[in-house]
Amino acid sequence: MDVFSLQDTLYLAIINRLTEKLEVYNISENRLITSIDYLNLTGDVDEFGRVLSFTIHNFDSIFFLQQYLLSMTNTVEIKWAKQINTFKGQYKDIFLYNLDHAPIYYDKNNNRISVQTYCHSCHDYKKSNYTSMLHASYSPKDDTYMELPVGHSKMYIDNYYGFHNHIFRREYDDRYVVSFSADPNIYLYNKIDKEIEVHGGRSRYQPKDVRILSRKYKTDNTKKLRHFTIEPFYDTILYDEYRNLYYRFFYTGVEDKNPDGTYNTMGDKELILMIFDNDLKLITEINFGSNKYRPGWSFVGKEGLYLNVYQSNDTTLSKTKMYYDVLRIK
Amino acid sequence: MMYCGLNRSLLYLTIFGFFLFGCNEFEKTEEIKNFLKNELNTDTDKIEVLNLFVLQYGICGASTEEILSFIYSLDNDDVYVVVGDVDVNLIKQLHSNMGEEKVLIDKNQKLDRYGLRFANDIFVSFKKGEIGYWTFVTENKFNKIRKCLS
Repeated sequence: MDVFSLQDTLYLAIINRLTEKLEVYNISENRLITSIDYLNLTGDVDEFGRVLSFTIHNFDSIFFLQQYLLSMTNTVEIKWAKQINTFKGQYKDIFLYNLDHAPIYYDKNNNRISVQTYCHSCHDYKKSNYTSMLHASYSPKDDTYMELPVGHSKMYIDNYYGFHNHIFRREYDDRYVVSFSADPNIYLYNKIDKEIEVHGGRSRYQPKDVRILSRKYKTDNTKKLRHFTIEPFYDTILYDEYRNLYYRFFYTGVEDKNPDGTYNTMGDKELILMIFDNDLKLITEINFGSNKYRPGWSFVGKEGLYLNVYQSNDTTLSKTKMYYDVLRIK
Repeated sequence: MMYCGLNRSLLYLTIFGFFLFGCNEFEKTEEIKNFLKNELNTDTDKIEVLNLFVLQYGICGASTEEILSFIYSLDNDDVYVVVGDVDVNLIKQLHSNMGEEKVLIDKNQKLDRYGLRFANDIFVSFKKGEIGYWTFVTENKFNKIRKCLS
Protein backbone atom coordinates (compact mmCIF):
# COMPACT_ATOMS: atom_id res chain seq x y z
CA MET A 1 0.00 0.00 0.00
CA ASP A 2 1.21 3.54 -0.72
CA VAL A 3 -0.34 6.96 -0.32
CA PHE A 4 1.03 9.74 -2.48
CA SER A 5 0.16 13.27 -3.49
CA LEU A 6 0.20 14.72 -7.01
CA GLN A 7 -0.82 18.31 -7.73
CA ASP A 8 -2.56 18.54 -4.39
CA THR A 9 -4.58 15.38 -4.97
CA LEU A 10 -4.09 12.41 -2.69
CA TYR A 11 -4.01 8.88 -4.07
CA LEU A 12 -4.08 5.45 -2.50
CA ALA A 13 -2.26 2.69 -4.36
CA ILE A 14 -2.61 -1.00 -3.56
CA ILE A 15 -1.55 -4.25 -5.14
CA ASN A 16 -4.65 -6.33 -5.68
CA ARG A 17 -3.40 -9.91 -5.35
CA LEU A 18 -6.64 -11.29 -6.80
CA THR A 19 -6.34 -9.41 -10.09
CA GLU A 20 -2.54 -8.92 -9.93
CA LYS A 21 -3.03 -5.26 -10.72
CA LEU A 22 -1.61 -2.14 -9.13
CA GLU A 23 -4.74 -0.11 -8.46
CA VAL A 24 -4.64 3.64 -7.86
CA TYR A 25 -7.58 5.40 -6.21
CA ASN A 26 -8.36 9.08 -5.88
CA ILE A 27 -9.05 9.26 -2.16
CA SER A 28 -11.25 12.33 -2.02
CA GLU A 29 -13.38 11.17 -4.96
CA ASN A 30 -13.36 7.53 -3.78
CA ARG A 31 -12.71 6.48 -7.36
CA LEU A 32 -10.40 4.06 -9.17
CA ILE A 33 -8.09 6.14 -11.39
CA THR A 34 -6.00 3.47 -13.05
CA SER A 35 -5.25 -0.21 -12.87
CA ILE A 36 -1.70 -1.09 -13.86
CA ASP A 37 -0.58 -4.53 -14.99
CA TYR A 38 2.48 -4.38 -12.76
CA LEU A 39 3.69 -7.91 -13.49
CA ASN A 40 4.76 -6.66 -16.93
CA LEU A 41 6.71 -3.87 -15.28
CA THR A 42 8.63 -5.92 -12.75
CA GLY A 43 11.16 -8.74 -12.87
CA ASP A 44 10.01 -12.28 -13.49
CA VAL A 45 8.50 -13.60 -10.27
CA ASP A 46 10.23 -16.99 -10.51
CA GLU A 47 13.62 -15.35 -10.91
CA PHE A 48 13.34 -12.27 -8.70
CA GLY A 49 10.52 -13.07 -6.29
CA ARG A 50 7.19 -11.33 -5.76
CA VAL A 51 6.81 -7.61 -5.16
CA LEU A 52 7.50 -6.95 -1.47
CA SER A 53 6.98 -3.23 -1.48
CA PHE A 54 6.46 -0.32 -3.84
CA THR A 55 6.24 3.43 -3.74
CA ILE A 56 4.94 5.91 -6.28
CA HIS A 57 6.73 9.23 -6.57
CA ASN A 58 4.72 10.11 -9.66
CA PHE A 59 3.46 8.10 -12.64
CA ASP A 60 6.90 8.36 -14.26
CA SER A 61 8.70 7.09 -11.15
CA ILE A 62 7.23 3.98 -9.60
CA PHE A 63 9.67 1.97 -7.48
CA PHE A 64 9.34 -1.75 -6.88
CA LEU A 65 11.22 -3.92 -4.41
CA GLN A 66 11.40 -7.63 -5.18
CA GLN A 67 13.53 -10.19 -3.39
CA TYR A 68 16.38 -9.85 -5.89
CA LEU A 69 15.49 -6.74 -7.86
CA LEU A 70 14.97 -3.07 -7.22
CA SER A 71 13.46 -1.24 -10.17
CA MET A 72 11.90 1.98 -11.34
CA THR A 73 9.18 2.07 -13.95
CA ASN A 74 6.59 4.36 -15.40
CA THR A 75 3.15 2.97 -16.20
CA VAL A 76 4.29 1.26 -19.39
CA GLU A 77 7.95 0.29 -19.16
CA ILE A 78 10.90 -0.38 -16.86
CA LYS A 79 13.25 2.62 -16.65
CA TRP A 80 15.99 0.87 -14.70
CA ALA A 81 16.43 -2.31 -12.69
CA LYS A 82 19.23 -3.31 -10.34
CA GLN A 83 19.88 -6.77 -9.06
CA ILE A 84 20.10 -6.77 -5.28
CA ASN A 85 20.85 -9.28 -2.55
CA THR A 86 23.58 -10.98 -4.53
CA PHE A 87 25.46 -12.09 -1.37
CA LYS A 88 28.60 -10.31 -2.57
CA GLY A 89 30.74 -7.41 -1.40
CA GLN A 90 30.89 -5.49 1.84
CA TYR A 91 27.30 -6.18 2.84
CA LYS A 92 27.04 -9.78 1.67
CA ASP A 93 25.23 -10.80 4.88
CA ILE A 94 22.68 -8.03 4.60
CA PHE A 95 19.41 -8.53 2.78
CA LEU A 96 17.37 -5.60 1.46
CA TYR A 97 13.83 -6.52 2.26
CA ASN A 98 10.44 -5.44 3.50
CA LEU A 99 8.87 -7.47 6.22
CA ASP A 100 5.50 -5.81 5.53
CA HIS A 101 5.78 -3.01 8.04
CA ALA A 102 8.58 -0.93 6.56
CA PRO A 103 7.66 0.11 3.03
CA ILE A 104 10.38 1.46 0.75
CA TYR A 105 10.65 5.23 0.43
CA TYR A 106 12.00 7.34 -2.39
CA ASP A 107 13.80 10.45 -1.17
CA LYS A 108 13.64 13.01 -3.97
CA ASN A 109 16.14 15.26 -2.17
CA ASN A 110 19.04 12.89 -2.67
CA ASN A 111 17.59 10.49 -5.25
CA ARG A 112 18.02 7.52 -2.89
CA ILE A 113 15.70 4.75 -1.78
CA SER A 114 15.33 3.68 1.83
CA VAL A 115 14.88 -0.05 2.36
CA GLN A 116 14.60 -2.19 5.46
CA THR A 117 17.41 -4.70 5.89
CA TYR A 118 18.12 -7.80 7.90
CA CYS A 119 21.03 -10.13 8.42
CA HIS A 120 20.19 -13.31 6.51
CA SER A 121 23.07 -15.26 8.04
CA CYS A 122 22.16 -14.39 11.66
CA HIS A 123 19.86 -16.46 13.85
CA ASP A 124 17.01 -14.42 15.29
CA TYR A 125 17.93 -15.51 18.82
CA LYS A 126 21.51 -14.25 18.52
CA LYS A 127 22.58 -10.74 19.44
CA SER A 128 24.23 -10.42 16.03
CA ASN A 129 20.77 -10.33 14.47
CA TYR A 130 20.00 -7.14 16.39
CA THR A 131 23.37 -5.45 16.08
CA SER A 132 23.26 -5.75 12.32
CA MET A 133 21.92 -3.11 9.95
CA LEU A 134 18.22 -2.28 10.28
CA HIS A 135 17.76 -0.15 7.16
CA ALA A 136 19.78 1.25 4.33
CA SER A 137 19.73 4.02 1.81
CA TYR A 138 20.27 2.74 -1.74
CA SER A 139 21.67 4.83 -4.57
CA PRO A 140 20.63 3.54 -8.00
CA LYS A 141 23.09 5.96 -9.57
CA ASP A 142 26.20 4.18 -8.31
CA ASP A 143 24.57 0.95 -7.12
CA THR A 144 25.75 1.34 -3.53
CA TYR A 145 23.99 1.51 -0.24
CA MET A 146 24.82 2.88 3.18
CA GLU A 147 23.50 2.18 6.63
CA LEU A 148 20.93 4.65 7.96
CA PRO A 149 20.94 6.04 11.51
CA VAL A 150 18.75 4.31 14.16
CA GLY A 151 19.53 0.70 14.89
CA HIS A 152 17.59 -2.02 16.66
CA SER A 153 16.18 -1.29 20.08
CA LYS A 154 18.51 -2.16 22.96
CA MET A 155 15.74 -4.34 24.35
CA TYR A 156 16.33 -6.82 21.54
CA ILE A 157 20.08 -6.74 21.92
CA ASP A 158 19.82 -7.49 25.63
CA ASN A 159 16.84 -9.84 25.65
CA TYR A 160 15.01 -12.36 23.52
CA TYR A 161 11.39 -11.89 22.45
CA GLY A 162 10.92 -14.71 19.94
CA PHE A 163 8.47 -13.76 17.17
CA HIS A 164 7.76 -10.50 18.97
CA ASN A 165 10.47 -8.70 17.00
CA HIS A 166 8.53 -6.70 14.43
CA ILE A 167 9.85 -3.43 13.11
CA PHE A 168 7.60 -0.59 11.97
CA ARG A 169 9.18 2.12 9.92
CA ARG A 170 7.72 5.10 8.06
CA GLU A 171 9.65 7.79 6.26
CA TYR A 172 8.67 11.33 5.30
CA ASP A 173 10.30 14.33 3.66
CA ASP A 174 12.15 15.54 6.74
CA ARG A 175 12.08 12.57 9.12
CA TYR A 176 11.60 8.90 9.62
CA VAL A 177 10.18 7.09 12.58
CA VAL A 178 11.00 3.59 13.80
CA SER A 179 9.08 1.55 16.32
CA PHE A 180 9.48 -2.00 17.65
CA SER A 181 6.66 -4.30 18.67
CA ALA A 182 7.93 -4.95 22.21
CA ASP A 183 9.50 -1.57 22.92
CA PRO A 184 7.36 1.36 24.14
CA ASN A 185 9.98 3.86 22.94
CA ILE A 186 9.70 5.64 19.63
CA TYR A 187 12.82 6.37 17.59
CA LEU A 188 12.73 9.47 15.45
CA TYR A 189 15.36 10.63 13.00
CA ASN A 190 15.37 14.25 11.93
CA LYS A 191 16.80 14.33 8.40
CA ILE A 192 17.43 18.08 8.51
CA ASP A 193 19.33 18.22 11.81
CA LYS A 194 20.63 14.66 11.35
CA GLU A 195 19.73 13.79 14.92
CA ILE A 196 18.21 10.74 16.52
CA GLU A 197 15.58 11.34 19.19
CA VAL A 198 14.24 8.66 21.51
CA HIS A 199 10.84 9.31 23.03
CA GLY A 200 8.97 7.36 25.64
CA GLY A 201 5.80 6.17 23.97
CA ARG A 202 4.28 3.77 26.45
CA SER A 203 0.55 3.24 26.33
CA ARG A 204 -1.51 3.74 29.47
CA TYR A 205 -3.04 0.41 28.55
CA GLN A 206 0.27 -1.39 29.08
CA PRO A 207 0.68 -2.06 32.81
CA LYS A 208 3.42 -4.66 32.33
CA ASP A 209 6.46 -4.94 30.08
CA VAL A 210 6.41 -7.52 27.33
CA ARG A 211 7.60 -10.77 28.90
CA ILE A 212 11.16 -11.75 28.03
CA LEU A 213 11.48 -15.23 26.54
CA SER A 214 14.21 -17.59 27.57
CA ARG A 215 16.51 -18.47 24.68
CA LYS A 216 15.92 -22.13 25.52
CA TYR A 217 12.68 -21.68 23.55
CA LYS A 218 14.55 -20.51 20.48
CA THR A 219 13.33 -23.49 18.41
CA ASP A 220 9.96 -23.89 20.12
CA ASN A 221 7.78 -22.12 17.58
CA THR A 222 4.55 -22.97 19.39
CA LYS A 223 5.85 -21.34 22.57
CA LYS A 224 6.97 -18.31 20.61
CA LEU A 225 3.64 -18.13 18.80
CA ARG A 226 1.73 -18.18 22.08
CA HIS A 227 3.98 -15.49 23.55
CA PHE A 228 3.44 -13.35 20.47
CA THR A 229 -0.33 -13.94 20.69
CA ILE A 230 -0.93 -12.83 24.25
CA GLU A 231 1.71 -10.20 24.99
CA PRO A 232 1.06 -6.47 24.38
CA PHE A 233 2.15 -5.30 20.94
CA TYR A 234 3.10 -1.93 19.45
CA ASP A 235 1.96 -1.84 15.84
CA THR A 236 2.06 0.69 12.99
CA ILE A 237 3.22 4.25 13.61
CA LEU A 238 2.26 7.11 11.28
CA TYR A 239 3.13 10.79 11.06
CA ASP A 240 0.36 13.23 10.13
CA GLU A 241 1.97 15.95 8.06
CA TYR A 242 -1.28 17.90 7.86
CA ARG A 243 -1.79 18.27 11.59
CA ASN A 244 1.74 17.58 12.91
CA LEU A 245 0.64 14.59 14.94
CA TYR A 246 1.80 11.02 15.32
CA TYR A 247 -0.50 8.01 15.50
CA ARG A 248 0.63 4.76 17.01
CA PHE A 249 -1.47 1.62 17.26
CA PHE A 250 -1.13 -0.60 20.27
CA TYR A 251 -2.65 -4.01 21.06
CA THR A 252 -3.24 -4.70 24.73
CA GLY A 253 -1.93 -7.87 26.35
CA VAL A 254 -4.31 -10.63 27.37
CA GLU A 255 -4.15 -13.42 29.93
CA ASP A 256 -3.30 -16.87 28.62
CA LYS A 257 -6.53 -18.44 29.88
CA ASN A 258 -9.94 -17.27 31.05
CA PRO A 259 -11.65 -18.42 34.26
CA ASP A 260 -13.87 -20.75 32.19
CA GLY A 261 -10.80 -22.61 30.91
CA THR A 262 -10.87 -21.19 27.39
CA TYR A 263 -7.79 -19.59 25.91
CA ASN A 264 -7.45 -16.00 24.80
CA THR A 265 -6.65 -15.30 21.17
CA MET A 266 -5.19 -12.49 19.11
CA GLY A 267 -8.76 -11.33 18.45
CA ASP A 268 -9.33 -10.73 22.15
CA LYS A 269 -6.74 -7.98 22.25
CA GLU A 270 -8.05 -4.43 22.25
CA LEU A 271 -6.73 -1.98 19.72
CA ILE A 272 -5.65 1.36 21.14
CA LEU A 273 -4.94 4.41 19.03
CA MET A 274 -2.30 6.60 20.66
CA ILE A 275 -2.17 10.20 19.46
CA PHE A 276 1.01 12.21 20.03
CA ASP A 277 1.81 15.83 19.33
CA ASN A 278 4.71 16.97 17.14
CA ASP A 279 7.10 16.58 20.10
CA LEU A 280 5.89 13.01 20.60
CA LYS A 281 4.10 13.86 23.81
CA LEU A 282 1.10 11.63 24.29
CA ILE A 283 -2.12 13.63 23.91
CA THR A 284 -4.75 10.96 24.19
CA GLU A 285 -5.58 7.31 23.60
CA ILE A 286 -8.71 5.86 22.04
CA ASN A 287 -9.76 2.30 22.77
CA PHE A 288 -11.38 0.78 19.67
CA GLY A 289 -12.03 -2.57 21.32
CA SER A 290 -11.26 -5.74 19.41
CA ASN A 291 -11.53 -6.66 15.73
CA LYS A 292 -12.60 -3.25 14.49
CA TYR A 293 -9.67 -1.81 12.54
CA ARG A 294 -6.49 -3.01 10.84
CA PRO A 295 -3.54 -0.71 11.59
CA GLY A 296 -1.34 -1.87 8.71
CA TRP A 297 -3.85 -0.72 6.09
CA SER A 298 -4.65 2.58 7.77
CA PHE A 299 -3.19 5.85 6.49
CA VAL A 300 -3.18 9.61 6.91
CA GLY A 301 -5.12 11.82 4.50
CA LYS A 302 -6.15 15.45 4.33
CA GLU A 303 -9.43 14.67 6.05
CA GLY A 304 -7.87 12.81 8.96
CA LEU A 305 -6.78 9.31 9.87
CA TYR A 306 -8.25 6.70 7.54
CA LEU A 307 -8.90 3.62 9.66
CA ASN A 308 -9.15 0.41 7.67
CA VAL A 309 -12.22 -1.52 8.79
CA TYR A 310 -11.63 -5.12 9.83
CA GLN A 311 -14.07 -7.01 7.63
CA SER A 312 -13.71 -10.66 8.55
CA ASN A 313 -16.54 -10.87 11.05
CA ASP A 314 -18.95 -8.54 9.28
CA THR A 315 -20.95 -10.43 6.66
CA THR A 316 -22.66 -7.24 5.51
CA LEU A 317 -19.41 -5.93 4.03
CA SER A 318 -18.26 -6.95 0.55
CA LYS A 319 -15.11 -9.06 0.49
CA THR A 320 -14.01 -7.34 -2.70
CA LYS A 321 -13.95 -3.84 -1.25
CA MET A 322 -11.91 -2.02 1.35
CA TYR A 323 -13.74 0.07 3.92
CA TYR A 324 -12.44 3.04 5.87
CA ASP A 325 -13.71 5.16 8.73
CA VAL A 326 -12.14 8.61 8.84
CA LEU A 327 -11.14 9.93 12.23
CA ARG A 328 -11.28 13.72 11.94
CA ILE A 329 -9.12 15.46 14.51
CA LYS A 330 -9.58 19.17 15.20
CA MET B 1 30.48 -38.93 46.47
CA MET B 2 27.06 -39.61 47.94
CA TYR B 3 25.68 -36.45 46.43
CA CYS B 4 27.26 -37.43 43.16
CA GLY B 5 25.60 -40.86 43.27
CA LEU B 6 22.26 -39.34 44.21
CA ASN B 7 22.51 -36.90 41.35
CA ARG B 8 23.31 -39.71 38.94
CA SER B 9 20.28 -41.69 40.16
CA LEU B 10 18.13 -38.65 39.70
CA LEU B 11 19.55 -38.20 36.24
CA TYR B 12 18.73 -41.80 35.29
CA LEU B 13 15.23 -41.42 36.68
CA THR B 14 14.76 -38.22 34.73
CA ILE B 15 16.01 -39.79 31.49
CA PHE B 16 13.85 -42.88 32.07
CA GLY B 17 10.85 -40.69 32.85
CA PHE B 18 11.45 -38.64 29.73
CA PHE B 19 11.40 -41.69 27.48
CA LEU B 20 8.45 -43.22 29.31
CA PHE B 21 6.19 -40.17 29.51
CA GLY B 22 7.65 -36.92 28.21
CA CYS B 23 8.42 -38.05 24.69
CA ASN B 24 4.88 -38.38 23.56
CA GLU B 25 2.78 -36.71 26.19
CA PHE B 26 0.23 -34.34 24.72
CA GLU B 27 -0.28 -31.45 27.12
CA LYS B 28 -3.60 -30.38 25.62
CA THR B 29 -5.47 -33.68 25.92
CA GLU B 30 -8.52 -32.27 27.69
CA GLU B 31 -8.59 -29.30 25.36
CA ILE B 32 -8.64 -31.37 22.17
CA LYS B 33 -11.24 -33.76 23.57
CA ASN B 34 -13.45 -30.83 24.56
CA PHE B 35 -12.91 -29.16 21.20
CA LEU B 36 -13.91 -32.29 19.30
CA LYS B 37 -16.92 -32.85 21.52
CA ASN B 38 -18.23 -29.29 21.72
CA GLU B 39 -17.37 -27.95 18.29
CA LEU B 40 -17.33 -31.01 16.04
CA ASN B 41 -19.78 -33.24 17.86
CA THR B 42 -17.19 -35.99 18.13
CA ASP B 43 -16.92 -37.85 21.43
CA THR B 44 -13.55 -39.58 21.41
CA ASP B 45 -14.53 -41.74 24.39
CA LYS B 46 -17.13 -43.42 22.23
CA ILE B 47 -14.89 -44.08 19.26
CA GLU B 48 -12.62 -47.13 19.10
CA VAL B 49 -9.90 -45.52 16.96
CA LEU B 50 -9.62 -41.98 15.68
CA ASN B 51 -6.58 -40.67 13.83
CA LEU B 52 -6.71 -36.97 13.39
CA PHE B 53 -4.71 -34.37 11.55
CA VAL B 54 -5.38 -30.88 12.90
CA LEU B 55 -4.36 -28.38 10.24
CA GLN B 56 -3.14 -25.03 11.47
CA TYR B 57 -4.58 -22.45 9.11
CA GLY B 58 -2.69 -19.25 8.44
CA ILE B 59 0.61 -20.53 9.77
CA CYS B 60 3.74 -20.42 7.65
CA GLY B 61 5.00 -23.96 7.04
CA ALA B 62 1.72 -25.64 7.97
CA SER B 63 -0.55 -27.49 5.51
CA THR B 64 2.16 -27.49 2.85
CA GLU B 65 1.80 -29.45 -0.40
CA GLU B 66 4.13 -32.12 1.03
CA ILE B 67 2.01 -32.52 4.14
CA LEU B 68 -1.27 -32.62 2.22
CA SER B 69 0.15 -35.14 -0.27
CA PHE B 70 1.25 -37.29 2.63
CA ILE B 71 -2.20 -37.18 4.20
CA TYR B 72 -3.82 -38.05 0.85
CA SER B 73 -1.45 -40.99 0.48
CA LEU B 74 -2.79 -42.64 3.64
CA ASP B 75 -5.51 -45.16 2.94
CA ASN B 76 -6.68 -45.77 6.50
CA ASP B 77 -10.42 -45.52 7.05
CA ASP B 78 -10.03 -43.93 10.46
CA VAL B 79 -7.99 -40.90 9.35
CA TYR B 80 -9.77 -37.54 9.61
CA VAL B 81 -8.70 -33.96 9.10
CA VAL B 82 -9.74 -30.87 11.06
CA VAL B 83 -9.55 -27.66 9.07
CA GLY B 84 -10.71 -24.08 9.69
CA ASP B 85 -13.32 -22.57 7.38
CA VAL B 86 -10.98 -19.81 6.23
CA ASP B 87 -9.56 -21.40 3.09
CA VAL B 88 -12.32 -22.48 0.72
CA ASN B 89 -9.89 -23.87 -1.84
CA LEU B 90 -8.17 -26.05 0.72
CA ILE B 91 -11.50 -27.44 1.90
CA LYS B 92 -12.46 -28.25 -1.70
CA GLN B 93 -9.14 -29.98 -2.21
CA LEU B 94 -9.54 -32.01 1.00
CA HIS B 95 -13.07 -32.98 0.03
CA SER B 96 -12.05 -34.23 -3.37
CA ASN B 97 -9.03 -36.16 -2.08
CA MET B 98 -10.45 -37.61 1.11
CA GLY B 99 -14.20 -37.44 0.81
CA GLU B 100 -16.42 -34.95 2.63
CA GLU B 101 -17.07 -37.27 5.59
CA LYS B 102 -13.36 -37.29 6.47
CA VAL B 103 -13.08 -33.52 6.70
CA LEU B 104 -14.19 -31.92 9.96
CA ILE B 105 -14.62 -28.19 9.56
CA ASP B 106 -13.89 -25.84 12.43
CA LYS B 107 -16.69 -23.50 11.42
CA ASN B 108 -16.08 -20.76 13.94
CA GLN B 109 -12.31 -21.08 14.04
CA LYS B 110 -12.35 -22.19 17.63
CA LEU B 111 -8.97 -23.95 17.67
CA ASP B 112 -7.36 -20.90 19.26
CA ARG B 113 -10.04 -20.68 21.90
CA TYR B 114 -9.28 -24.25 22.99
CA GLY B 115 -5.54 -23.60 23.10
CA LEU B 116 -4.91 -25.79 20.08
CA ARG B 117 -2.93 -23.28 18.07
CA PHE B 118 0.45 -24.69 17.17
CA ALA B 119 3.25 -23.61 14.90
CA ASN B 120 2.84 -26.86 12.91
CA ASP B 121 0.00 -29.14 11.94
CA ILE B 122 -0.48 -31.89 14.49
CA PHE B 123 -1.35 -35.55 14.26
CA VAL B 124 -3.18 -37.14 17.20
CA SER B 125 -4.10 -40.81 17.47
CA PHE B 126 -6.91 -41.71 19.88
CA LYS B 127 -7.61 -45.25 21.02
CA LYS B 128 -10.72 -45.63 23.16
CA GLY B 129 -10.53 -41.99 24.16
CA GLU B 130 -6.86 -42.08 25.14
CA ILE B 131 -4.10 -40.47 23.12
CA GLY B 132 -1.71 -43.23 22.07
CA TYR B 133 0.52 -41.09 19.93
CA TRP B 134 0.82 -37.52 18.79
CA THR B 135 3.34 -35.49 16.89
CA PHE B 136 3.85 -32.28 14.99
CA VAL B 137 3.47 -33.07 11.31
CA THR B 138 6.77 -32.45 9.59
CA GLU B 139 8.38 -34.41 6.77
CA ASN B 140 10.75 -36.20 9.11
CA LYS B 141 7.77 -37.55 11.05
CA PHE B 142 5.96 -39.09 8.07
CA ASN B 143 7.41 -42.56 8.67
CA LYS B 144 6.50 -42.51 12.35
CA ILE B 145 2.94 -41.52 11.54
CA ARG B 146 2.71 -44.31 8.96
CA LYS B 147 4.03 -46.76 11.54
CA CYS B 148 1.44 -45.56 14.04
CA LEU B 149 -1.31 -46.09 11.49
CA SER B 150 -0.16 -49.55 10.45
